Amino acid sequence: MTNSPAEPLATRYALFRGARIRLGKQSWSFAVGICGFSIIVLAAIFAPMLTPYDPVALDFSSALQAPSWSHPFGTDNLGRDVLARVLYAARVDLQIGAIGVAFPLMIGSVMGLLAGYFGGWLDALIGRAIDIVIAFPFLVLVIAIVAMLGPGLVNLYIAVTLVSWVLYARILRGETFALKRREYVLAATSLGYSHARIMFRHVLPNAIAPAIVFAMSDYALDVQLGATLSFFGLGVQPPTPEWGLMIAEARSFMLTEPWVVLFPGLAIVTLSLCVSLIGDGLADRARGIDV
Amino acid sequence: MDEPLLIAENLNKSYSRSGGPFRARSAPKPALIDASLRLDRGEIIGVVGESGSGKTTLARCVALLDRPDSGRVVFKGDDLTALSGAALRTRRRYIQTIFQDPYASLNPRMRIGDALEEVIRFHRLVGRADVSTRVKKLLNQVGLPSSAASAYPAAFSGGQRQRICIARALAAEPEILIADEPVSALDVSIQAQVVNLLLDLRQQLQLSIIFIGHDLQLVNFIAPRVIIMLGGRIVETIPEGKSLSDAEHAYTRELLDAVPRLENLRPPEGEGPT
Amino acid sequence: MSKGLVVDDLSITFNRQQLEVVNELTLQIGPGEALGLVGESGSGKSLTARAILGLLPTGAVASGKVTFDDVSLLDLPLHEMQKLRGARIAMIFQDPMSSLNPVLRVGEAIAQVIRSHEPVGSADAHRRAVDLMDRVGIRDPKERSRAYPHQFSGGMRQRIMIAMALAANPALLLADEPTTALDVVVQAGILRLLTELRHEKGMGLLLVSHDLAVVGRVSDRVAVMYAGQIVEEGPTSEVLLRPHMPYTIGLIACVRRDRAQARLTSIPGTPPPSGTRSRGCRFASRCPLAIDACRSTPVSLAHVGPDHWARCIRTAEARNLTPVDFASHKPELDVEQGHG
Repeated sequence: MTNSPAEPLATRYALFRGARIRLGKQSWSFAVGICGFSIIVLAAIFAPMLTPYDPVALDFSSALQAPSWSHPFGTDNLGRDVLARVLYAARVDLQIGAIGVAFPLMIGSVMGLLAGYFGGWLDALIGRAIDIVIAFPFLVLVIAIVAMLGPGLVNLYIAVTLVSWVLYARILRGETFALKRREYVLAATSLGYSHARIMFRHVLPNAIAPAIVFAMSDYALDVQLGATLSFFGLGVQPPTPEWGLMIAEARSFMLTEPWVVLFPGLAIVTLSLCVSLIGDGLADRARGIDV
Repeated sequence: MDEPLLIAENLNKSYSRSGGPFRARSAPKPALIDASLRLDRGEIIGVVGESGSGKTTLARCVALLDRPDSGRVVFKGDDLTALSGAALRTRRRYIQTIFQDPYASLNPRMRIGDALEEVIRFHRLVGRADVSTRVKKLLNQVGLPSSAASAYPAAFSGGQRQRICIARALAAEPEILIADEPVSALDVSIQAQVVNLLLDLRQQLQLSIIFIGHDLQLVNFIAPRVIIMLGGRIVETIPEGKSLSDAEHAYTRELLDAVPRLENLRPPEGEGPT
Repeated sequence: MSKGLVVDDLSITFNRQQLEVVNELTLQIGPGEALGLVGESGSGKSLTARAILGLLPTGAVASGKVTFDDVSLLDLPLHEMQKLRGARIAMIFQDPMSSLNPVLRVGEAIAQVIRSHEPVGSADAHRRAVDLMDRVGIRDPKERSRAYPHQFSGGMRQRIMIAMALAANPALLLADEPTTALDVVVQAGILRLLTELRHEKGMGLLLVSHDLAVVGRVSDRVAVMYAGQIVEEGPTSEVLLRPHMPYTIGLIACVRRDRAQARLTSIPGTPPPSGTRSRGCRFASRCPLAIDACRSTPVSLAHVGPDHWARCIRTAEARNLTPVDFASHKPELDVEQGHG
């Protein structure tokens, strides 16, 4: 399978352990992550079928009931069923993570790709933009932009995109620099391909892997960001259920009726964990691929 | 007298090192100094040098993969160094390069068949209906089965990958093939296979080849005319017909003497043609 | 009296014995002897060398017997092995760039080797390091001992590696492709150095290389490996001038650059994927002389000359092989090999 004295010994024999990897510890956690994430997504989609309660319906007679058979997660101070709210909130939080990652990923990747591929003044320009944005603390900058634009999900997305794109641009820029002089890219150049074709067909697919892995942990961070901002009143507005908002609304009776805070908190942690495990799994796979 | 296919005149190239934020720009190191060469149609010339000799820079400049700081590269009368953008891109495909590292020469995320098809489709070299037949033909031409088209590069060994690179280069229907140390990273028995393939293809397709290597004897075997490089300059050209042992430059002689050779032992009896 | 290195039936496997990359290998290196281990990639030659010092990659299991001066090495406890490494058996590797610690000054790196094996003060160790650097041909050794690895060229770094390897006066040096990454002129210097040092110190040498000529220049004996087995072994001039095994013959023919030939001789086909076991001769699918008996029964090393062995049942016919026989032979395609 080789023919080349140039191939490092460790790489060559790493393939022999390949058969083990499928059953090894790494793949196990990846599977757990995917399963967990799928369960959360399905729960969000089928929320109406999983709970008979309306997440926003008020019922003061059942306020602050501890978990029981009729209310598995208990109720909050307005009598709303916590389980129902957690399930419906999953839709919002999953969406926050997805959109909060998708736009920065796309925009940032293209910017980084352009900067790395063309170099010169374009790289200088984009590089400076990256430096400026990165100089600010992430949360502070997002909060500042949302404060300017006004609270709400759409403004949250705008703020996150304006700030997060640099994280992806940095990754792609670095990867593109490295790949630019790779022989298959040189070959594409000598075959007369246009810059666009080379960038998007040859460089991007090979440069994107670290960005995708990062996107997974970014997903978790964005969910937490959404929760944080909602907690401060800058994100989702009541009565829309959202995990962070639920925690904020319940903080005054956190010690006496902990379930109202506990379950949304656990949801945030669980989603973040699953997404991180997926990211780890992807990272492990990416490491084995380019041989 | 036929006009030469390719003329490179007085090529110079330096790579400047920026030295990082705390150091001033250090003086640029010249990688190629005043290099010229001429390639006729159907000819094979060899370029020999050790690392740092400038042979790879010469290959890159002739293929316009790097822009020379000064000098011209004239292909069939066109000065390629004066061209850019689309004008350069359309002419590019006539000069193809095979690189040294077979593990970095193929896009790992593209199937072989797709990579070859891309070349053919992009340049519209055959009608739509004939593309996959042409791909199969190319693969067979380099000694690979048609089934290779559906596989990814990871499925192939170093020698096979080099063949695929040759197929990709041929897909562009080039007139010049620059082989930049194409076999240096391969096992000896596979080196011979790939070299023979290049020689066969040259005969079949009337290709002109610039063969670059550090193995003086191998290059001399393949190319009737050999250029020796040292420190960015061409120090000697061994013309067709002249033997290596008649080389004049001290460095060439040093190269010759340094190579450990089996022939230094007595030739074996009863083995092969002598 | 040192009895040297004895390797007896060494097998190296991966994945619970599913893949066998070295098969029942036997070789010996007496004190002061130089053995060249030649093979292409995937032949198992590097792994063999590493097995001696317990440097196999994770997942590899070595079985059989390896002894040095009557000490069994394969099951040696780690602390004993550490005393042996460097002091009795030393190793140098292919890539000097990654083998030297980039943050250590080279003089210090060499001195550390000395100090870890002998109770010597740092000033003395440093002095000896400088002497060693001088011996391996580094100019201005005293000044250069304060330099870092990146300030040296590839050839110089390899010389520093050799100095480190010799620092504790080992009886045996294992060299895994030491000149493959170096230019030809530099390579010649390193080979000369190795030969001189061997004779000076009476040191044994195991030189692993894919280059027949390199091995021919330096070794007393040559062992040719193919697909995990030694297929021919004997005194260097015997093996290289009178090869008896078709693979060896083919390999030698491949490196001939006689301008009278129109084509280079190549061996058709490719080696079997690393680790495949087979019932008969592993070279059969590519051999112009293969017959059914070759494929069905295991072939052992046969005596073909003074201290010269070849793993082939048709050595008589092999002597008459010509490059044309290789060129015209169509290799069989194994299902395993896929695209042959």
